[in-house]
This record gives sequence, C-alpha cells and structure tokens, in this order.
Amino acid sequence: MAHNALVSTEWVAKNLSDTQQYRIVESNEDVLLYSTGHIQNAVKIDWFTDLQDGTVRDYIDRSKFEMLCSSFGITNDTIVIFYGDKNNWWAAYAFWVFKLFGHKNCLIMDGGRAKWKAENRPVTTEIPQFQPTKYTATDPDLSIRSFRDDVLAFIKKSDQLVDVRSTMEYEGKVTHMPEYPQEGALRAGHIPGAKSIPWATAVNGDGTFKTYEELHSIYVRQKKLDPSNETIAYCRIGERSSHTWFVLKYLLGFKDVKNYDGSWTEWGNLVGVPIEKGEEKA
Amino acid sequence: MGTEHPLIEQFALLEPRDRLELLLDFSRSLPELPPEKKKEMLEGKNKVHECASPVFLWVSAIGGKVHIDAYVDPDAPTVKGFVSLLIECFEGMDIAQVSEFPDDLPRLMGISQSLGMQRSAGLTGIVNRIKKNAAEILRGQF
Repeated sequence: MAHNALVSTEWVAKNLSDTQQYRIVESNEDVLLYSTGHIQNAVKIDWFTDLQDGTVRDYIDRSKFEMLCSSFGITNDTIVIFYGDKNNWWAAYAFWVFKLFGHKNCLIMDGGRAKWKAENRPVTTEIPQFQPTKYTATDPDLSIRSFRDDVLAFIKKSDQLVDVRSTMEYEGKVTHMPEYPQEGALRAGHIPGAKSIPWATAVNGDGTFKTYEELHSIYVRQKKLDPSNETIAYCRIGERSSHTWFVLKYLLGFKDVKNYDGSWTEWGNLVGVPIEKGEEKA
Repeated sequence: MGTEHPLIEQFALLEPRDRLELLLDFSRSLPELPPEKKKEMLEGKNKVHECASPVFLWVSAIGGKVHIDAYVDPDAPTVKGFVSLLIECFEGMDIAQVSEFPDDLPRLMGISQSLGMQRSAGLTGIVNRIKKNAAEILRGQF
C-alpha cells in the first residue's frame, strides 16, 4: 500500500478501549442506525446534521467543527477511525471533512459496519461520554476541494476529471439512481471529458477496498490517470466522490486529488454549463 | 378524520432530539411480515421505489378498513420507524379516508429538519405510495 490509511476490524477490536489515543467515529446514511448498536466507544457523526450547514449549501465552519471535536473529547493528536454503512461512503465523507479542517491522523476501518456485523463482533447501545477537549482546527484546506468555476477551468486543460456515478447516470439515461429519486437534476449526462469510473470499482463485495495492485491496475493502467497530476472526483452530492477521493489519495498515493462536492446536483441544475451525454469517449 | 392524528401531534410537541428517539422506538415495534408475503418480498415485489432504503409494502382492505404489511431493511431504522408509525396511524382506518391523510408527514411531525430534504422526500414517497394503493383499492370496489 502506498499509504497506511486503513485498519482492520480485528485491529479496531483490539484497540477500541484506548480512548486516549483513539476515537472511533460512526457515520451512516441512516441517522438512527448508530442507536441500534455500534462499536463500543464509537461516537456518532451524522453527515447531515453534524457536518452540513443548515442554511447555506456548504459544510459547517471552522468553529462548529472545533466544537464538534471538543464535544467528543478529540484533541489535535487523536487518531480518529471512521466507519459506517453503505460501503463506508459516509465514513469517507466524514474523513474528508476532518481533512478539510486539517486533522492529522485519520483512518478508515476496512469493510465498515457491514463487516463488523458479519464477523459477529459485539455492538453496544451505550453512548460514550468524553470530557470536552481543546481543539484547534485549520481554516478549510481547499487543496482537497473543487468548486464550480474550478471545474469549468479544469475541463479546458485536463482529462483527469473522474465521474464516479453509475454508467446510466454518466451516459445521461437517468438523472439519479433509481433508489435516490430526491437527488435528481434538471439535466442528465456528465461533465465534458470526464472519465467514467463508478465508485464501486474500488471495493470488493463485502465493502472492503481492493488491494493496491488491483486499484493501480484499474485507475492508473486501464483508466490512464496520472498520479502526479491534479485529479478531481464528483458524483451527485459528494459522498461517493469522497469515497473515490480517499481511494486515489490515501490508497493509491495520488499527489493532488480534489472532491467537487457540488457534483451533479449542482452541475446538472446550473444554467449554461456544458454537458455531454452517451458513452465515454475512447 | 381530518389532517391531524394524535400520533403526529405527539411528535410535533416533543423536543427534536426526542422525536428521533420516539421514531427509534417505533422501529422496534414494526410487526413481522407474514410468511406468504416474505416470499413475494424476496422476489422483489411491492418494493417502494421512492425510498432509498429497501421498503416493501402491501396495502389491503379488510371489511373496508385499511390493513398494511411491511418489510423494511433492518439497517434503515429511520425508515422502519416511520413505516411502523404509519401502520399505527392507518391500521383500521376507512379506506376512503386514507386519501385525506397529509403527504408531508415528516414536516408535520417536525422531523424533516433532522433528516434533511432528501431523506424526508423518501419518507413522503412512502406515504404517497400507501395513498396511491388505497385509491386503487377504492376504484376496484366501485
């Protein structure tokens, strides 16, 4: 592996009682799933209520992030381990937000909630309490984030834009996944020049990430992404692209990877931006 | 029955945090799916496509009163709780009255703030599906 950003369920089971060094964070699509049972000493961070601003479409600001970390007894040196449902989509999303605010040590538990349950490991409904700590975040690190105008400029000079949605969404046959009708857009298709690499290409059936060799073969050899050049990933609302961002940056060691979190819910509704339909051009 | 229901009012009166707690309680009391419907579910029948999580619903009328069977993915407790709540609201209601039930339940219950637009819309989709099925049964009866 190029980077050591994954830990196994076995490792978490062995280290979960060390709440001084480690903080386990569960992030799911369902806001109540944590309450049905979670890894002992894990705290819940909900992508919507905890990481999103309630009024403006944006992430929370620096001071809210500091308060969030403080409330969970997280210090600047705490090693935070993320896991969750849905193949760790939202764990990757939360990981990305922590990196946005400069948190040093972040890891993902490979296989997420599903693997932990599949291995019959114990869960608890007990909610851990931590003493509030001092936490100082950085200002948002925009070297990992792309905005609309960045993407407009990027597509004129680079072909390292990665669309991680399903093939049907990429080709413009549908504006949203059948299971997510509320995330539709007024137009279907993809951002011109984007490579189609559905996020699921990076994981095995059990939600664990593929090996470095397998990922390298897909993203670098087959799809011809250059790890030394800037790469931007997008999906519909930025959660699947966080997942691919993690793969490219932390598992494949790409130098410069950004998440365009506006993604298709922004681009597909934006007046006047170029859109392509159909299969990926060879 | 008008657009109010005691259960919905109960939700609206609680603190936001307690609303989700109550929804969690409801998720634990969803009745088990009868065996003959389990088979249909495994065949993918009666799936509610408006919802992101796997939800399967059977709406029927027994003596003109609504009866609902449901299966919800256990990893979707928010949806499971909502469906369980709906069943309690609808069970035994005259089928003709189902159409009067409000669509935007998550907002009336005061949980759409906690869930966000996308998740709320999924739940509204479930209400719509029940109303649609009820209307179909009513048409079939005339």
